[in-house]
Amino acid sequence: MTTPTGSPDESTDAILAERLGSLEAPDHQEDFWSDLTHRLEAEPVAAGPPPAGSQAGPARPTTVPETQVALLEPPLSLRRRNRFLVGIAAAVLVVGGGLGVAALLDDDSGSTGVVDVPEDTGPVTTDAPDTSDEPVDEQALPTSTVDPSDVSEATPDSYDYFAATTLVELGSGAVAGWTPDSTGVLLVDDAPGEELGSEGAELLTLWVQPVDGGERYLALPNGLTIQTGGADFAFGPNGSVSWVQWCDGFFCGMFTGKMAGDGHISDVTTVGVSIDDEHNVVDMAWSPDGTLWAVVSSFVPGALEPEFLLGSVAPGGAEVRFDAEAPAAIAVAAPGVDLLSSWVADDHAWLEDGDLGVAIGPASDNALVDLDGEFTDLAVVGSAIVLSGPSGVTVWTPEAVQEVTDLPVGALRLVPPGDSLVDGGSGVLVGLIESAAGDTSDGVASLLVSNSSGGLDFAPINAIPGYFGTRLAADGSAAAYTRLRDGFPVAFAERFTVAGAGVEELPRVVPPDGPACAGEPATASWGPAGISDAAEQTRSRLLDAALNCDYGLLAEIAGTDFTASFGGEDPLVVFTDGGPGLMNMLIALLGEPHVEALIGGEPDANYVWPVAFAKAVDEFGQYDEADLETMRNLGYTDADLAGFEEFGSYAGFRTAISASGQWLYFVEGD
Amino acid sequence: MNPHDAERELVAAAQAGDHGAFTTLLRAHDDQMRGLAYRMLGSRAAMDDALQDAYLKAYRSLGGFDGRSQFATWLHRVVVRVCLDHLRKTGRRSEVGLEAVGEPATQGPEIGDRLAARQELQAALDALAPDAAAAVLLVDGEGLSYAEAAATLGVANGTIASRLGRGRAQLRVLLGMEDPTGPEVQESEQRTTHNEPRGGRS
Repeated sequence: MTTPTGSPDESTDAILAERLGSLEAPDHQEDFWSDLTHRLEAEPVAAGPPPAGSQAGPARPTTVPETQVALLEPPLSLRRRNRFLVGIAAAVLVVGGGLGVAALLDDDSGSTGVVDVPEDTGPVTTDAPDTSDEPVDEQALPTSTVDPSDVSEATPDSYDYFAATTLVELGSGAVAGWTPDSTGVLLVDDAPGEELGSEGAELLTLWVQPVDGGERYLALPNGLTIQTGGADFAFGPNGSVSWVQWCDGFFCGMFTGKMAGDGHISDVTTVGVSIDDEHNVVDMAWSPDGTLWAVVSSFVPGALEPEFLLGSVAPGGAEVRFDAEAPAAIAVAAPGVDLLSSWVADDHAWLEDGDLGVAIGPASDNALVDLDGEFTDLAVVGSAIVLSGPSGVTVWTPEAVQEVTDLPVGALRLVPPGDSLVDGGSGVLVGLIESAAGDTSDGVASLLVSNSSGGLDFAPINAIPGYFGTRLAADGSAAAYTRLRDGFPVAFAERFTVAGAGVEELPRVVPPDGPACAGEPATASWGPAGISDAAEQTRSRLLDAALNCDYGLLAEIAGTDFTASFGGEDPLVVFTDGGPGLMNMLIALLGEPHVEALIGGEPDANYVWPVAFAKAVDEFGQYDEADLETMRNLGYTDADLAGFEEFGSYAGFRTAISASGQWLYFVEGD
Repeated sequence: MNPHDAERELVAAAQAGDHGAFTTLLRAHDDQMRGLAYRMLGSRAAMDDALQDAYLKAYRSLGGFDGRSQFATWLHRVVVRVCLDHLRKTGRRSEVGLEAVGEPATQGPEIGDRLAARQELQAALDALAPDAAAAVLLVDGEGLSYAEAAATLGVANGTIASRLGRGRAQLRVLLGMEDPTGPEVQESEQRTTHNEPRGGRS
C-alpha cells in the first residue's frame, strides 16, 4: 500500500501560501516574445492534430493484447544504470521469486522494447548484517519510557477489545510493521547521520526497535537506505520484503530481500526497475503466491505527463498497462479472488483479471460494476473489494455494493488473514491516516469485519485522536501505531490480548442523540476507559446519570468535596440550571480521551478530561490538530479555539475523577 | 462563442501549425505561468529561460493534447516539468531585483522592507532541496492538492507528504517562524499534569 493520502482541503499551509503568493513575478525580458516567435518559426513540423481515437473522458485501462515478456538476468549493480526504455513505455516488472524482469511493450506498436542492461558488478546479496558497527544515531534511540499524558487513549468503544498490558513509546519514526517474530517494531526513520533539513534528510531506512527492550538496530544491511515516502516498503509472504533503494546519491532501483524473524534483512537482490529522474516506483504489492507487483511512473522523453505502468509475470496473468492517470495504490487479490491486478487512479478504479475483465470503474465493455467516485485506496477482503476515498468507503461484493458516504478515508489497512480482532474474522481497518507530517495527527477508524456469511459488517466509527495507522503483529499479540508530535512521527507499541468481543457487542459511550432526560430511564453500556476500577465505576455512574438527566444522582456522586463552579455554587443547582446541555457536555467529555494527571512528576492518578486541559498551548501559540479536534468534538467553535490559544490554555469544560473514584470537579472557565 | 469554444479553436489552429494562434493561447495564460516559473526558479532570467523551453516543448507536444483537460492545466504541467528540470540541473538561485518588487509608481518608503522580505523568502527557498522546494511550491504556492502534486511530479502521495513536511519545517525555521532549537518544555506548578515533550525530531 502507499503511504496514505491527505485531504486536499488540509494540504495548504496558509501562512506559507501567503508568503509565496507575495512573490509576484516580474514581466518578461524585452525580447522574450520575439525570441519565442523565432524559435517557433524554426520548428520544422507543425504540432499536428490530436491522435485518432482520442476522445473526452477518463482514460481506460488497456490490456496489452499480446505481450512479449523479456526475461533478463537481473541487473545487479549499485551503480547508476542506463535507463532501459521500452518503446514509449518504461520498464515495469514484477518479480516472481525475485528474479523475473518483465518489460512491458507499447501497446500501440507492439514492438519489443530495447532494454539496456547495465554494466553490473554482481548481486547485492548479503549475509545477515552485522549491525554492531552501525553508525547509530544515539539521539534516534528509543526512550522506552511511557508518558501517560502523551498517549491519546482510545475511546472505549474503539479499542476495548484490546486488553493492553504494556504501552511503550518507541521514539521517532513511523511504524511500518512488525518483525515476523513479533518481538520488534519496524520503523521507517532517518538514515544514520542525516539531519532534518539536510539534503539527505529525505533518505530513510528501516529500523528494528525491540518492543521489550534493547537498542534499535538497522533492518537493512549497513549502508542501504530507501527512498522516502512513495512506494517505500512492501511486505510479502514468507518474510519477503521489497523497497526502493537509494544508492550513493541516486535512486538506483527496486530491491527485494528476506526478513528474518528478528527483522534483519538479507539476500538483497535488485529486481531491475529503472529508477531515475524520469522513472519512479509509485507502489508495489506482493500477492500471496510470492509475486511482486510494481507500478512505475514514467516520463519518457518528449512526454508531458507521466505514464503509470503496471505489470506482472504472475502465472496466467497478462501484463496490463494504464496510462495518463495518477495512481494511488495497488493491492493484490487475496487467494480465491479471481483478480490478478488492481488499480486505483485519481477518480476511477479498475480491477483486472486479464481474461475475465472484471472491472470496477466507469462503464466499459467489460465492466461488471459501475462505480463512480474518487478512490484513493483499495483492499481485498475475502470476496469483497473495499475502495476508499474522500467521499467515503465503497464495498463491492459479487452480490451487492455497499456505500458508506460519511466516512472520508484516505487509506485502508488490512488485518492479516488468519489474525483476528473480532470473532476470528479478518477485516480491514479503515482510517484517515496522516495527510502529511505536521498536518494532522487525527485519525478516524472503523472496522470492517468479514462475517460468517462472507459479507462485511461495519463496526461503529470511532474517532481516535492521535492515531494514524495501526499495525498489528503477525501473531496478533500486539499493535503499534504512529502519532505526530510537532510534525514528526513518534511510534508506540502495545501488547494486548484479543477479548473476542463481536463488533455488535462493542459498547458505545456517547449516545448519538444525547441525554434522554424524559420518559423511561435510558440505559447504555459504558466500556472501560483504561482507568482504575473505582474511577471507571464513577465514570459509568456519571454517564448513566447524565444520560437520564438525573441531577440528584449527579449531586450525590459529587458529594461535598467537589467543585461545580468557581463561585462555589451548589452542584445540584449548577446541574439543574445547566440542564440537558450541560449533561451533553459531561457525556461528551467522558467519551473523549483523558490524561492521567501527574503532580511533581509522580503519578497521582487523577484522570482528567479532556486531554487538551492538561496541555498548554504550544510554543507557537497553537494546539496540535488532535487537541483541536477533541475540542471541536466538545462543541467549541473555531472562535472559541482561537480564544483558548490566545488565553494560552484550554478554558472550556473539564472534569476529573480520582483513582479512588472521587469525582473532583466539572467546571468551565478560568 | 464562449471562451471554451474560442480556446478549442485556437488549440486546433495551433495544432495545424498556426504560430499566432499558439502565441495567443500562451499570452492568455502567461501571467499564471510566469508566477509559477518565477516562484519555482527565483529569478527573472531563469523564469524566461524555462518558459521559453516550456512553451516550445508545449508547441512540439501539442498534438498530444486531446482536450480532456483545460489547456491551462495541460500547459501548467508542462511548465512545472520544465521548471523541475531546471531546478534539478541548476538549483534554485534567486535574484531579487527592483523589477520584482513593483512598478516605480507603486514604490514608496516600504520598498526596502518589501525587498528584504522577498530576499529572505527567496533565500529560504534556495536553501531547500529541489524536490522539497517543488513540493512546497506546488502545494502551498500553487494550491495543488497532494494528489495533483503527486501526479504532476510523478511520485506517490506519500512522497509529496514527506517532502512537503520537511520543506515546510525547514522553511519555517529559515523564515524565523520557528525556533530551530525547539522550545523549552514549560512546566507549570499550577497544572496537575505535565506537558508533552516538545521540540524537533530526536
